[in-house]
Amino acid sequence: MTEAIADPLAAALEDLLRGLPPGAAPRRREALDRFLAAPLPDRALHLWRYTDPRRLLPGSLAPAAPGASPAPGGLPACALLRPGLLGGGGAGTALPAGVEVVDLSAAASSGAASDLLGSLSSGAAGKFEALNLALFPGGAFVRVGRGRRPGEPISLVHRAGGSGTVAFPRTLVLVEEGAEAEIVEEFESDPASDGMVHAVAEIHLGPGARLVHTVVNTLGDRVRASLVQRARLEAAASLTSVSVSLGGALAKTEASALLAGPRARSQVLGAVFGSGRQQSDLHVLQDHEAPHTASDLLVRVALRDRARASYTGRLRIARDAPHCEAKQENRNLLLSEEARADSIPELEILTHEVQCSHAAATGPVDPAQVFYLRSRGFDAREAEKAIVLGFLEPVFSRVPGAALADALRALAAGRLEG
Amino acid sequence: MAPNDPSAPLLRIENLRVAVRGDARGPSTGDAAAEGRTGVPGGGEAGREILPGLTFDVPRGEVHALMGRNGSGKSSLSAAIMGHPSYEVRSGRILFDGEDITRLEPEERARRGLFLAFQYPVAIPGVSVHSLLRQALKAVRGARGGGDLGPREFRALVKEKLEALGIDPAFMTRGVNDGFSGGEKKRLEVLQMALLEPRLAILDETDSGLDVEALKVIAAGIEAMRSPDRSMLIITHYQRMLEFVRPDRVHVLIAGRLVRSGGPELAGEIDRRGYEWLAPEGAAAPEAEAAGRSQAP
Repeated sequence: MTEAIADPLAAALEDLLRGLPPGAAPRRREALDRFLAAPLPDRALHLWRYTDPRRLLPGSLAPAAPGASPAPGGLPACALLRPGLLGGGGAGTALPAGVEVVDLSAAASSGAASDLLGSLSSGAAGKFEALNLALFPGGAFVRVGRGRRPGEPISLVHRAGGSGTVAFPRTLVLVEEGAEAEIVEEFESDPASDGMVHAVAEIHLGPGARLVHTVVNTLGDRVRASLVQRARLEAAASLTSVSVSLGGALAKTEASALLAGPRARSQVLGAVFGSGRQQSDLHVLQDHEAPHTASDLLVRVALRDRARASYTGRLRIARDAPHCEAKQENRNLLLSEEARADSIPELEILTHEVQCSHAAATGPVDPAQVFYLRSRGFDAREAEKAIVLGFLEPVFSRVPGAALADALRALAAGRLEG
Repeated sequence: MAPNDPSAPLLRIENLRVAVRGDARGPSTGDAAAEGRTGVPGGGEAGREILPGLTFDVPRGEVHALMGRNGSGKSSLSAAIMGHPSYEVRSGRILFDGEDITRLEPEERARRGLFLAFQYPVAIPGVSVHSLLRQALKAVRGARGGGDLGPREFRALVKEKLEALGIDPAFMTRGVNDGFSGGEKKRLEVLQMALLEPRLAILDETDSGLDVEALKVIAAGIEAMRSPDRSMLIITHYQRMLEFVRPDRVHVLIAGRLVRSGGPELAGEIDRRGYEWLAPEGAAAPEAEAAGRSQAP
């Protein structure tokens, strides 16, 4: 099956290479070979239990053309497209000192970006990541220099290709020792697009670095998307991954954090709303490799109509990593009889002296809540909206920064009106 | 009876037969906590007829008390008047200001000026009291031609009502009834009544679970709402509340039937003599009633 798509993809890659530094070719060709050679992910593994990976093969879709106009000053197109969620000018406006946002495909030919690119994906699980590595047209390399604290969020807007295309957004983030940053990545498309998105974000946090990384999916309801995030945390680094998923026919989100240094902390905050026949599939891996590391996860999902969602979490604590703390909580609210949510937390704990907890619950809307609000003049739709936003509120209220939290609340509220 | 006929009663219950709907959710344990969760007073035994045919009026500007033990149908009546989807009106009518509202959606009743203070107000985590009040006021005022209040006017109005009811302003940012004490829940119900200024307020056991000090504050809040333009139906099984909010009429409900109506002195008599003497011949008390479900005084 993959052979049928090999030729067009190889041709697309050769096309792309004509605009890239010559050094880029070997790595990208090797990645394409890896994609073509790797078998489809095994559906017996719970990572793919709820999604048929064939739905994410590009098939006849054509790779989207790289950003139409070359971005001035070497800034990646995604950083300039339009003001981001928070209303600022994105990375296109003057960047604070010590912060670099450059085109990744150009930066990847040397230095830190070259060393880090693709270093966090591996094996058959990385099939689609290899496809992205071969074909990402521009991408963004965000580097926050040692000890820097830009204060303003860095906004990247990835507009998925139009109908009939597959887009390969890629972001590489390096927050150096003691630096602090906030990055918002938005994935959006033409509402009518039937295209596909294969996105990868790789995040490297140096010792004591802190990052709030927010991913917002407002893709059109016919788009199929794979959004992969991989992070590696050095000692005492802290990552908060916020994921708000509202769009897409299929949105498969995979987030992993490797807690490589002692006292590293990873927090995942996820809010999902689905309607119609939307499917959301979220997989989170918290990998405690070092002692005294902590992870925390809160995912809330509300589904209407015939929407489906699955959450599979994997918590791994290495044999020589005592004194870790790990918490996972997934709650699902079903607004119709036909909606369905599955939740499978999985623990792999190879040492003693750990504190772990996990909780999962799925339930319908409480009719008493609906009646209460209707008795106060809310119509049925307004009551549902208030209850869903209230249900998602524990996620939003833990998002660092009031401006970001408010923007995410407004986005969810807007989606619920539709 | 023409709408807005000033001589007509504001609320007329006409031969109302009410049953628990067959598809009503909820356990039939009859316990208060389950009622609070499902919102189905009486627990929701599907198909059971709770009111076999009830008739009474509440004239404009009057305060009526509806008394009876647990399980007598008081809460079911209040839920049916407000349009609770778990209750089926099998026959009869509910007339509000001359208009037949029997088939209206609950929000349409609210927008016409009906208000129900719940016996067991449900928690809605994540929805702040502020947003509940703001949106309820917008819906109800909007429908009654009052127009929406600006943020400043809203704040001023809320501040005034909070002070009158002795409520900490920090209340506004909490989730609706989420982790509230019994007294806080009842205060929030009365606060909403004060803001929404209904034409008919039904207060379902608003006195239950309150200590004397809280009862006084809440009763004063209710008394302050008394007006020639507003009627109230106070549902209680104790006389206690009625010492502070004196009713014009008292009705007694036993097994879904109105067995006696009288002046305010009837409440005192029930306090002294209980309900047995009012039970009609052969009307055995239902089990739930006989068991006398525990109720904090």
